[in-house]
Amino acid sequence: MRDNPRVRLAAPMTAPVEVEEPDVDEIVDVERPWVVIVWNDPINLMSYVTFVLQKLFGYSREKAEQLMWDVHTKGKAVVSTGTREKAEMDVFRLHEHGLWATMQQD
Amino acid sequence: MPHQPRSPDEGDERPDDEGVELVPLRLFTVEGERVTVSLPAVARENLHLLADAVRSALLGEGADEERDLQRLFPPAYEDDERRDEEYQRLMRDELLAARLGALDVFEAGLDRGELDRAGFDRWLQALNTIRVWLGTRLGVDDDDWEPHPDDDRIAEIGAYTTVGVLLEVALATLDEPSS
Repeated sequence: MRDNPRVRLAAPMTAPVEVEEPDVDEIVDVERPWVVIVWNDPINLMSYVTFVLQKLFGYSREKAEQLMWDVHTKGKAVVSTGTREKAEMDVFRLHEHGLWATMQQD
Repeated sequence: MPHQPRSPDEGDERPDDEGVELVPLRLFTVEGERVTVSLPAVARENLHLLADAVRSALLGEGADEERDLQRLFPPAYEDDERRDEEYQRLMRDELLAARLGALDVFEAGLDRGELDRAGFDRWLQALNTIRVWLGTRLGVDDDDWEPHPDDDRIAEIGAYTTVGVLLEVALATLDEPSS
């Protein structure tokens, strides 16, 4: 290999270096997916909730209606999962459409 | 969620009733990507007034606006105050802009009487915003909520019901085969 004059190899380090141990809980936290929950509310119409779930997530009518029904009868339903960034975007779009949505780590 | 109004063909069949042939009132028509909104003038006028009222509330120009807007700016993180504050700091203005933009589309659609499909989706979004705002002001807190007999907010109660019916009719129109 030809010497590359722009590359300078670092001198070997002999001094002890403090290594920061990764926080295992933190790693696990980062990897756990986020869930987006739509909560039952007394104002939004059932048909409107179905419409929004179909529109935002591309769900079939059957799936959107099932989720809507879960929201109505069980009080809430998980409508999407993913990274924190994706969950925040999904929550924003649900809020934009007037639905009561929150996110939490699974 | 409140139950949907029952459609006229569900139950209540009365064999002795000769029936009346009514001319269907087409408030919305979908033709391909085009949606026509044909509301009576008085309905358009009232919807403009409601859109104005919601816009003023969103812009902080009304009384008790914070209480009335709780439902329109809900928390994203229910159990994490620190993260929710950060979320609200970053997203509240964007949510406000989206709501105001949808109200503009809503009012323009009322005046023109015609929208494309994407515009109509925002029209519905704004109509629902009006309903959520009215419902919050009225204190709707139960799926089977009914106004107290002594409640004198007749106009708002009527508007809340009417906007709900309008939303149902509009959504049902989208389910019909396009012309």
